[in-house]
Amino acid sequence: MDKKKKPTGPRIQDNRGFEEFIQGQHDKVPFLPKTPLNARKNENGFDHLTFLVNDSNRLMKLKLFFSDKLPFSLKFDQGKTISELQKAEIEALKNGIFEISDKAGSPFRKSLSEVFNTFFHGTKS
Amino acid sequence: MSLPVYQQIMIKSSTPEEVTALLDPEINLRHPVVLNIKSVNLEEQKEIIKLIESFFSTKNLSFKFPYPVYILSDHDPLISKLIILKNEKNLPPFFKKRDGKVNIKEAHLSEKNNLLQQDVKNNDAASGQSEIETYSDFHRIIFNQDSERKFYQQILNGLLKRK
Repeated sequence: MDKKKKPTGPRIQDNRGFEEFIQGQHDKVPFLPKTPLNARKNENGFDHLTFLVNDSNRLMKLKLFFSDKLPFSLKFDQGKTISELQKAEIEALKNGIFEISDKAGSPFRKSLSEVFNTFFHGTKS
Repeated sequence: MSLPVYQQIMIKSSTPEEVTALLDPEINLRHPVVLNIKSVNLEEQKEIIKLIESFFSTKNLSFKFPYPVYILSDHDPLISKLIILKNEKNLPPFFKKRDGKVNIKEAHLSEKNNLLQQDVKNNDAASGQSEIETYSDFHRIIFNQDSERKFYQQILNGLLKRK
């Protein structure tokens, strides 16, 4: 049988003078309230760290942009060339459309003649 | 060591001395800044915006890099090149974080970020700003021309199919 043993004899003598201190502690609120181990984790978690990592990435990208990409793109600027090529292509497309539309019997001419015929025919009658 | 979250500065006077006293060349080096000028009347707000703009342009400072400077004002954003917002709700949420103590790991990362911030500032972001604008203007032109080219291409394809 395993029974709880009450301190007797010399043990009581050892605790003499400390009874209040030993017994009273269980009921009282501790002087420094225990904080749960993961209290700070709950408060911040990895929020700050993630934010700093994201900011670091942002700054790194900015640094690369200003030190490498921007000088490179300015030195070898393609904007003007691309714009001129596009203009030439637009002109070529316009000419192509005009050539097809200008031919006799083209859908554009047919539609135009239909419009004119119906209009003038209507006024004559 | 603090986090790069919004730092709000209240401007309550439109006198040049008081406004420039609140501004510093390194104002946006470590964190984004919100200059709140809503407590003064509209005319004074306009004066303050002009003063802030001239502060950045005369000192060749960028109000966008490394961290942006926002102005909370009732004026239309088009009156200035600065970023003008109506209220705090319109601020980008990226920097809307609760400031607090940082642990050792975060402090190390923050120190690394400090170097990057200085690096971005040293790259003369202000002069790069005009170059970015010319670059973006060209891209806008290219985009418009490409839309036009696609439109004509579509018409031509339609005509060739009917042939």
